[in-house]
Amino acid sequence: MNGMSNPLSRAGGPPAPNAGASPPTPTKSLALVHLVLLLFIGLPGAVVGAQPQQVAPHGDAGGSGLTKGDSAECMRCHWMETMAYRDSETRQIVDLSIDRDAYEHSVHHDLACSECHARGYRHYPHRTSSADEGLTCVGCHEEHQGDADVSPPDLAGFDIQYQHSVHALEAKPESGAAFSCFSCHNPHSFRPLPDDTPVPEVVAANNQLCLDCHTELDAPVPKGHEWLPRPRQHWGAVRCLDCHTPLEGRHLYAPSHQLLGAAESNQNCVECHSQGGELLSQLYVHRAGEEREQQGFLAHAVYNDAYIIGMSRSPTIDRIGLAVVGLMILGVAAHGVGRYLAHKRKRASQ
Amino acid sequence: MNTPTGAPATGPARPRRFDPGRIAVILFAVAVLLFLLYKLVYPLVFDAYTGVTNAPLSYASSQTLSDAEFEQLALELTESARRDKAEAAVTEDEDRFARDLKVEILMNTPSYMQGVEYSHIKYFRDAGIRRYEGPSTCLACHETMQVEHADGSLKTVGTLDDIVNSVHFKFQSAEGGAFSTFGYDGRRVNAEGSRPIPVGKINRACGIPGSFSWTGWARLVKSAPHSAAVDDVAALPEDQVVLRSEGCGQCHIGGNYHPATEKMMPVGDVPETAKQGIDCLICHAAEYDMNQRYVIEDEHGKRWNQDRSMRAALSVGQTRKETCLNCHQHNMGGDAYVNNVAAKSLGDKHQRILHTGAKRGNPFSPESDAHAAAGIQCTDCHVPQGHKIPRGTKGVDLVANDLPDREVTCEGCHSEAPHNASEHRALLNGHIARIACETCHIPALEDTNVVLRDWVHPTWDEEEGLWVFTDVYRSGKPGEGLIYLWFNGNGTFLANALGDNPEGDGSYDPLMHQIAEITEPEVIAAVRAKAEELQAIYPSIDVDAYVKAATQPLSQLSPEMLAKRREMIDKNLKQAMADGESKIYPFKRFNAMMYEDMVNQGPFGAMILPFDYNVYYQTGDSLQSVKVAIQDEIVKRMYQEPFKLYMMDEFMAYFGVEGGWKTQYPIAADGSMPDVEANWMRQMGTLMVNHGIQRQGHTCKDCHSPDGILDYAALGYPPERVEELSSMDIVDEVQEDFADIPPADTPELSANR
Repeated sequence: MNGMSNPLSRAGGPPAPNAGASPPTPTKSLALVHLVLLLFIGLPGAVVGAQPQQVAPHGDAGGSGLTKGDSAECMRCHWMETMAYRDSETRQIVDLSIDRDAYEHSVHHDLACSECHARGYRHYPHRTSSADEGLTCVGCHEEHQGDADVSPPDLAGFDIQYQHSVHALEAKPESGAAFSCFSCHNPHSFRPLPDDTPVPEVVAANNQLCLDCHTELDAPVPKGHEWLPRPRQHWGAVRCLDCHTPLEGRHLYAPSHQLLGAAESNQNCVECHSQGGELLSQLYVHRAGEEREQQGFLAHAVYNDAYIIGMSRSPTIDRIGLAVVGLMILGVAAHGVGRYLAHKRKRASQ
Repeated sequence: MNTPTGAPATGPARPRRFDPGRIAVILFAVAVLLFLLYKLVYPLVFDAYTGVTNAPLSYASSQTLSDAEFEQLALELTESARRDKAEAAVTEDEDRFARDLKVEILMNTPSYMQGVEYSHIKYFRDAGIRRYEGPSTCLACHETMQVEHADGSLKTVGTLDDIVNSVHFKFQSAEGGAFSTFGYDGRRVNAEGSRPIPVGKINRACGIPGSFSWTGWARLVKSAPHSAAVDDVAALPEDQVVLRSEGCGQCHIGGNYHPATEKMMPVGDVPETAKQGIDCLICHAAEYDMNQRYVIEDEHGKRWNQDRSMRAALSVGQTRKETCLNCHQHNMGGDAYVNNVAAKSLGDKHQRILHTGAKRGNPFSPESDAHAAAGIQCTDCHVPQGHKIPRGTKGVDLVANDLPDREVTCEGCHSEAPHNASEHRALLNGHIARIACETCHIPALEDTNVVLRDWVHPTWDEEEGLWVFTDVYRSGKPGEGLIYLWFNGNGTFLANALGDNPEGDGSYDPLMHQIAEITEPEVIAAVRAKAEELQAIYPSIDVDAYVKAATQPLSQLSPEMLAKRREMIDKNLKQAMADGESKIYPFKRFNAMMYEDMVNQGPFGAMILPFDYNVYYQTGDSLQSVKVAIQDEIVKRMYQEPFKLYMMDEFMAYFGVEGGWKTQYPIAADGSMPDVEANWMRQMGTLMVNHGIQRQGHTCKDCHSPDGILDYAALGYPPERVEELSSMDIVDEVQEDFADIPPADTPELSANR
């Protein structure tokens, strides 16, 4: 996992040229995108939503944004856990509550409410609609790139990927549910998972982002995944985006925001279930590191590929397989020794 | 080894010491004997031991009809529906006479009979059923039924068994697991691993708490309507006396001479004769005549009459709110509630005694409840599982619960964002984290809601001609009859809501404060006025002492008992209070002054004793009435060793009485009752109220103002939160009349998170 933290510390710095991480065989159409992407994002960190771990403290060092400015006034109502309403267009429940604890642990923890929500909220009932407000992650991060005290990561690379994603291309504004960063990432609780998060938890947290909206997949035979054997087991072990982002041009530490629809997604089992499978490289770079730490390099080298296509990467199966092989060798050896001893005795008796 | 014991039968028969065949025969014989003893002898011994009677039951209303009478009745039952249908079709004729004729023709055609008939008219017609005999008639077709469980699985069960083992029949349950009641000893009642005891209810609103319903199941009480007070109504000449019906059996479907006593025991079953007394129709017949519900007497004793007419039987179907309310409006709206339909049909004779003080005062009727007005049926929320009806997982009291795991909630339909019409909907929804729906949407209970009831000092009711208990204080208003407490779904053995303030400073202490004292000056003044009134009848009453005991029931405890109480609350109940998620709920508060057996007393109260209805109503001698009631066979048994071991020791432990049940019978050899004392229970009961829901609930200012209905300090908020919550500055920004604002067309609130 040690690979994760390095890019993070660089996140706020000037865009790194990244000569060493050039994409393997980019296709023509995507080459430019990747080039731009890598220039902009400078390899921001890994897992959930790929965000910086630490943001330079805001001017008045360290204090929670919820105690600054008028924030306390806002929180008089917005702390309420059930503050929400049902949108008359989408009929979905819109959550307006701010979880104090989550906010104070989020990357935006030192921002006062008014720093993002600048106008229209002085009086209750508020008259500003979300459309008027026009908050965007990319714009704000862009705006503050040059600031001395705040160095938010530049999101322009993600934005380019996102513009090519199924979410951006197929979002239907007329349905009322316009897609934005906020559809997946809650800025009031956003923070990357710590480096030492076990891979299964990384996978679970990551996939939950998708499943929160794609509730139709919560079925015994999930729609579109009929071809995939044991889908739930797969979902517990790999991230949705391992299949649903382009194979080409992956960077180990920057999950692509170019989410693919069903048709374009990877459906080739061998991409994962083979030595050095491409699809899993991003995720399993962490796992391999973790395993090396736990089991030592030799054990990792022995076990890592000792599994059968179509089966899981379960270490138990690895061990059983190894045990079967060992037992067989033992059996053959014992048989040989027996034969030899019997032969010797026979000779001796003669 | 030389003679195998399992020798083949071909050998010569020789006596064997351990012949397995013989042992099998002996075992079989013993099993048969035990079975016969259980089936034949046990019921007789049990009846003799508990002093209950069982005999075949008959009802005058169960009459055989001729085919012609049957058809006539069928036409009558559908007439208004057919007429409505025909009148809707005949619209063009101006001439009234011609129109009437056409309606007559149409409504008697087979087409117009279809669809408006009760389904069982056809079934009974085809099956040749011309008399309703009770459960046996129903069971001829409905011997088994499909029961749908919460997980959607279907199971076929015996219908009779299903109903006999439901709370509606036996009105007790020994369900464990999720049962929400805690003993004052800190144990969850009938939890896994404990010895389950049958629990019904301890109901201080009735003079006969659940466990004593034998002493007042069916009674014929003599009354002297519109006469001045008399010492003994029974001594009046016959022509001045009117018989009235009273007793627990009026609302419980067992039609026997006593409640389902047999079901109190771990073995044994209700006799077949009693099962045939079940009143299927009171729940299932749309045309049930509540005027048939009165006490009758035969050579075996008294019991409640039923409507077993073909008229009722032909109208059977699924239960509807009207059938549920035949009984349940009695404890919801109350007998005196103006829209209580059943209370308008008190009986063709021996009319049932009306109770003017309401037990809950939250009616369910279109006039008083938004859901009833919307045509919602009881079973839409209380979704039955066969004959078992869920009452929800939250229960503050000891009332039996057939399905303690099955939810009955507002959120089930309304979701977690229920407010849609108001401009302030997000703010209103925000309150749900801490405030239960009922807190705002039951703004008040009925005025007849009784808060303090004195059973010890009855007063003469001139209109009815009876001595009745004295309702010392009635009110349905917030802060008077309705109080607000933290509640997490747990309750105590004596119906006290448990919960705690999630943001509290640890000062929330309801069992020593809110529900153990009445502090509102206007309430105290009303109690004093009533005490002075009572003093005119009972000169021995010391008004100051009376008011103190009624409003500060803890003042009746000795200092040691008070210290013990403090210790038990801290040690035993804190965990049950801190459990789960608490919200502020409204509760009807209630206390009663009754006679208690002080030998069995603890810091939360002593064993309350029942009243004999006849003596009580006819003479007003409450103490004598207790003396008669406790001479009932079953109460005597309670004061003996087997019952002590079987359930009373456990019952006392939950009650907070240490040292087990003391079997010292309250009546001494000389006929005196030295240890029987009149007391108020040491804390009020808090009864959940969930009906009488109003669309327009409380307004912001009702709570968020310095003199609002929520006492934030008593609810355990720290002082700075108290100040914030009771300040007016936010409220002033919010328009009060938000219910009149039409639903917004566009989301004007920020949708960004």
